[in-house]
Amino acid sequence: MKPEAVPAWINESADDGDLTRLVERIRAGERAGEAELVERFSHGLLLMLRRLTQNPALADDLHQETLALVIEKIRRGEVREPERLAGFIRSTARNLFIADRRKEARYEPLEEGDEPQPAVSAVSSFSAHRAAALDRVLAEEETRQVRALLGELRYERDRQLLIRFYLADDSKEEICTNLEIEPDRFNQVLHRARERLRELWERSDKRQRFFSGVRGIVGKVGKQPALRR
Amino acid sequence: MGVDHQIIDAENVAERYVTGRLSPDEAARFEEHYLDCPACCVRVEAAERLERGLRHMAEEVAAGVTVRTALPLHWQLAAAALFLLALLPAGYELREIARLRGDLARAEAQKTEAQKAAPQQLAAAQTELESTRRDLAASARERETLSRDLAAARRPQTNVPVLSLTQLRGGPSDVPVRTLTLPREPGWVALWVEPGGADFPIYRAALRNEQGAAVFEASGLALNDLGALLLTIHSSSLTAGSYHLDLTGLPRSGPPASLGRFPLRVAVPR
Repeated sequence: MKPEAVPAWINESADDGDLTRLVERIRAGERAGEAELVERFSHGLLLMLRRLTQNPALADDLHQETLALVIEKIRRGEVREPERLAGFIRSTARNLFIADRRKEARYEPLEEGDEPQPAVSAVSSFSAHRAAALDRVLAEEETRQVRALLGELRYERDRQLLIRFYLADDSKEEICTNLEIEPDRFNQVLHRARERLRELWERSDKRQRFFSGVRGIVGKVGKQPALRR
Repeated sequence: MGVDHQIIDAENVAERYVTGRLSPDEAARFEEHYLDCPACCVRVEAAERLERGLRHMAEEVAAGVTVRTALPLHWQLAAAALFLLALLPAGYELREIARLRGDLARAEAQKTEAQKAAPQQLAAAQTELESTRRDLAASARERETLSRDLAAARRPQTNVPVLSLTQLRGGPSDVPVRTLTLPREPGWVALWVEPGGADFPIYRAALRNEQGAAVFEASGLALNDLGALLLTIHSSSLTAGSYHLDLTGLPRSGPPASLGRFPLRVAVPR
């Protein structure tokens, strides 16, 4: 099969020497190296796992397992291409996820009428309920914010473009035809619309931080006992 | 793996990743990259947040939920102020649009004028082209004639008409008594001139037509062993009519001496 062309945004000639050195340090037993690896990859790995699993609790578990396994494999000298450490972490995480799905698949097919163990059921039900409630609050907040920001966008085309790009499965060609955008300029137009929304978003965040700060100060002042004259 | 973040932004890579529009290979490469790139993590999170917000909004709309947001008065005032501020760039843009429309109208007028002038310019160019073609054809014909003449000149000259001119004594010198008949085809003719008793180191001769215009002039002529001057002229320089040859002797010192006039008639063959 013909290999895919390297995307334009990748610069293959870049030096990945620092990853090699990091792997060497961990292999040499340096604890600081392990801490650096966790510091560097933790955020991105969790982000990727949350997208992959669509389950924050599972993502958290796999995140810990992945980092532990990667460090262990580096110590044992099983990382053959240190410069491709990110790829190694990614594939380790995905393999752990696949293994977890397989394990789940073995437990899941219960006969109709079978009930899970009551204790487990109660705990998981409570956790799930809390997580769902939190998710709902966050989702409502995001929705309110997005609605307000879309309303603030100056150009109707920006609104339509963002909605169709993020929500609909429309192809680029369909969007271009309907919104009268030249296909060559699609990325540019989308980028600008996104930038305008991002600016509004940042302004909105700053505004919120400012007012929550003011509310905090006002709240503290209100709780202080009255000064004696 | 190094990346160019400007291209990632310009090509909306994070947004395409979040919406599942990257190829599997490109998505894998992007994941490998953002695992170790806080800036791209922020890009992905922002795209996810927007996607989630839009999706929830769409779900609410689909479920028929309408949310009314009653803004407090100070927010309404702030919004009004923002609206007025927003009108300022709009005003500037309107002026810019008017200016651009003016430019466009001028450009279109110039284009129309150019289109009107184009047929006339084309006709003039065609006339000039025809004229050039005619000149070129004439030049080709002339070149052909010259080539023919040159070829003829290079051929051995035979049957060259020779007219002997001697100064007649006792008669009117202006009356031509000798006739030179030109050959049928253009070629050389010769004049044999005997200056008589005069003996000069060099001579000068001029053949003139009836109007006195010189059709042939030669200087530095010297007598041959037979005591005569032989002048060759191409027949194309002569037409039928009366001519006379003026002969002048040039001494080593002193003024030139006129040796007389030799009349002749030129005839064309019938």
